[in-house]
Amino acid sequence: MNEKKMQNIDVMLPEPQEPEKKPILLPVAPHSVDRILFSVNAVVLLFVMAVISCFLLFGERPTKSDEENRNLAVRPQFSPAAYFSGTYTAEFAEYYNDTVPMRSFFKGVISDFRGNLGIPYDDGVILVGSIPTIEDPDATQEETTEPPTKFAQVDIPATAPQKNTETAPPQETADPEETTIYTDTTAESETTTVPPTEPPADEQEDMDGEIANNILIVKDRGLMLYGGSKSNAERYANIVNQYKQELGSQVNVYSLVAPTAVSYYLPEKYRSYTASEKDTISYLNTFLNGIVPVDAYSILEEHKNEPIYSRTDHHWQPLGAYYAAKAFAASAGVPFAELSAYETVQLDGYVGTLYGYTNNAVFKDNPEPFVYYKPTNNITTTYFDPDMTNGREASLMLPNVEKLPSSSWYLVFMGGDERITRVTTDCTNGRRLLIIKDSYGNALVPCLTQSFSEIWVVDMRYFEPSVIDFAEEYAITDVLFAMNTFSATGNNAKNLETIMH
Amino acid sequence: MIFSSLIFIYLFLPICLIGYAAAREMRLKNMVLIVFSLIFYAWGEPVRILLLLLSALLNYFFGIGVRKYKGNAAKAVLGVSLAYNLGMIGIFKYSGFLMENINAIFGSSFPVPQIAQLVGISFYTFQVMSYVVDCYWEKIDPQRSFTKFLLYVSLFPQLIAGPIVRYSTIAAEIDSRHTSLEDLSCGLTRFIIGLSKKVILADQLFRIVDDFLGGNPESLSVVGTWYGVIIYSLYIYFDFSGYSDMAIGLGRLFGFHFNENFNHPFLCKDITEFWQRWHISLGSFFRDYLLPLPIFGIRSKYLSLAAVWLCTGIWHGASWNYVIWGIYYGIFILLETRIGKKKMKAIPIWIRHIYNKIVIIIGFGIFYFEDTSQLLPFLKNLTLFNPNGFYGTMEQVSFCNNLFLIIAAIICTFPLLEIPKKIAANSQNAKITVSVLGTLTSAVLLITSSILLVDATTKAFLYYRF
Repeated sequence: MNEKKMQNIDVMLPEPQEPEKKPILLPVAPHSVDRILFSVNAVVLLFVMAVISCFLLFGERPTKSDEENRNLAVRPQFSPAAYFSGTYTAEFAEYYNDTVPMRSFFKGVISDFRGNLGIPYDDGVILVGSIPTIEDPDATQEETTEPPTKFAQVDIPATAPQKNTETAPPQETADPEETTIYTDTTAESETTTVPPTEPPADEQEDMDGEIANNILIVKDRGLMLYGGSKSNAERYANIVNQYKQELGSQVNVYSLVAPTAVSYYLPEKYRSYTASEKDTISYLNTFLNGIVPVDAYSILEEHKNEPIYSRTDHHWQPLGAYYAAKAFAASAGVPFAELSAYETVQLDGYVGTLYGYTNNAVFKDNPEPFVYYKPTNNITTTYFDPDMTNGREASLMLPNVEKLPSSSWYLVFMGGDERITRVTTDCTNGRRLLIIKDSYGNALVPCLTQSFSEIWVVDMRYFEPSVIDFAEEYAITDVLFAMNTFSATGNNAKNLETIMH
Repeated sequence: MIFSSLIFIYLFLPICLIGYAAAREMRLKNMVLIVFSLIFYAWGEPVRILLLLLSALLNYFFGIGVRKYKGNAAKAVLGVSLAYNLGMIGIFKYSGFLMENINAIFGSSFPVPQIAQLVGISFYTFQVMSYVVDCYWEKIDPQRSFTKFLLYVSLFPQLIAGPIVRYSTIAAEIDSRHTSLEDLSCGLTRFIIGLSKKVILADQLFRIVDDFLGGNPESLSVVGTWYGVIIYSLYIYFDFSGYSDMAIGLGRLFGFHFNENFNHPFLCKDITEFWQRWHISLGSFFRDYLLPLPIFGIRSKYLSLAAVWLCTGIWHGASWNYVIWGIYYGIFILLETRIGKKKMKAIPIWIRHIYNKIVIIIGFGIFYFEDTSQLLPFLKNLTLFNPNGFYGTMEQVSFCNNLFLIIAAIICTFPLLEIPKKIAANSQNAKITVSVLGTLTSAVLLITSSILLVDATTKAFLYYRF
């Protein structure tokens, strides 16, 4: 009825399309050969579908992912209310997809697939994630890039010994492992725990705020590109200054902002894609007032040819922490034990957090050793929940860490971040240290067991009491802020404000 | 539920197919399809099913009404039906946007309604509108059976992201249809092709898009900005046409034959042709149902042009960038109309290709940035006014890292399947070889896609939002 009109304006509008009903494979002909070919095609494809359907239906479904350090989704309980709200179907779909049989194997295949979508650039450089905005050195506005704010901390996994019947009071000369073990048998000790207000982290992006979402892989090493933020550096310094004011002149306050591997291993031509951690730390230090800055940067630079940073993990290696602790001990004027005073433990086949985070095959295919140092002097370690309840004795270094998936080996220090830890040592200088830290700080603790009489370790993301009251109550003499640059100039540092009082 | 998920392909679909095959009578088969379609639509948010049922019920009566009554009475029914359908889209899709803008313009502070957008509402509402209007124009007879009408409305292959299937296209098949061996075979193959486009190409391309445009687009170099938006253009084509392929393939499994929705759009020679090849069912909807309105037509060519492109833009979403996007295309189509077909053809073909690709790619850039404040920096970064330099190392890194993917994606924008078809036409043996290789390829693509689906980060289809 409108044909005429339409012809006049057809130039500017889509024209009617002839319905296309072409078969994909072959022209139609009701021929016996066609019938056979159609049958073969349909039977083969339906067969593949049926096999995969059965595999998904009857295969054994995993419950946790070692690479990603998390429990997988659980099958939801059906209830009419849950159905009508939509949560049942959504959770069921998530469960079905998250717990595919042989998931870890398929994830490996996917990472190989992705690794072969192109060629490595130049000398093996791969970009994972977006390019960070590098802040103008003079900029004072809010930062535009922030590391993810959510974080998932792995607590002591189920493989940690639950109870040692031979537990005796700490012996003078005993190895801490033999006398003190975890007695924490609550459910949380077996699960990935997250702060109570956070939903269970199930995305890879939900790593803690110490990791960047921009990672450059250079050959077999993952480097987090640092956005940097002068305004946040100032913010950090101001908060720490405030602590100093409140703690008073009797308490020494130190700031150890640790650089990450990007400062030492990023090839020159990519320099423009990361802010300078060195400059940020120096800038930050200029705002500190009455606080002793600890120069971890220089000592790490001196040793950059040693394995001080993990290639496959966003943390430093315990060796890097050892050097940083050495710089701190010098600043604090406390004794410091040489490495020979420790028992060296080497675990081979370490594939750290960056594999789960980037799902890039480079990490899986190039494991590295994880080397840590066990204190041999006499120490007693007590753990408390983040609200300072439920104190229990256990060893400082997580026993049997080698039995955990390698991505969890950094948990060897105190079993993770969340708990408040007290270490009483045989050092007799009477100095009591409080470390306020992110997970970079964890690795410092064993290195200081011959330097302070007592060490308290609290994580700024979990700690619930007030730091100021806490310091007073336990007669703290030294407070060390220890974290990496991402935490200090990112969202993590905001927690320092909340835990002060 | 989305097609490109393990739960759909390996749990929902097999049970549905078995149920469908087990049902002997057409009436039963229709019931099976309706039940599964409702389960499909209710997945994730069951209450929205009520609106779908209400829409089906009312439009069922509207369809009968516009034919039962004559003259003004019929017009009144038509008017009510249009008001209802457009009203539903208005409420569920645009009310928030409208209020925000009213508040912004008049400085008022009306509460902005927070209505969750209903998946698929733009698609199924357009379908029922076309049905009622076609009934009114006596192009089709109204469906007397409510179950059959409900089947048309709710049919899951085309329910939530098109193509916009006209009732007339499948009217006969709703009453009686048969899944031939060819339908089954070609339907499966077509579904797998669509799945592969989505999972092997689109989802992988999206990772690049996210890295570049999704990160800090204002910090990209000239080359980096172009790279990001070119990859986005490829992504959106494979994402959406992959979905349409899957829908068409699934339809065939149940004996339905939908019209094509894409016809290798990037091969177009000008922008007018692009829209004859891109999202065909939407363009033809506006052509057939918007233009015949008395206010348009011959007398006001430009008014109709403006109306069509404004509607096309706003249909894609309640955001200013879509409006700009629609107007943007309207301007180029107007330009091409003014130049005229003959003069357009006289322009060397390579110039026309460069021209239309640039327009299309920049167009998708506008389409991408829902946050219109990012739009100007983006457009500036495409030019030499870009403050971040001409090119950076990162786009080289990303390009190398994804070289094979990008090459494959570009190749796949061409009508590749014509090649085996031509070869098969040569001889019986060639036909057998092509078919067997086709089967093997399909199986490999299906397995590859399925493995990639294990990665939970799969993005939902973009067109779900519309």
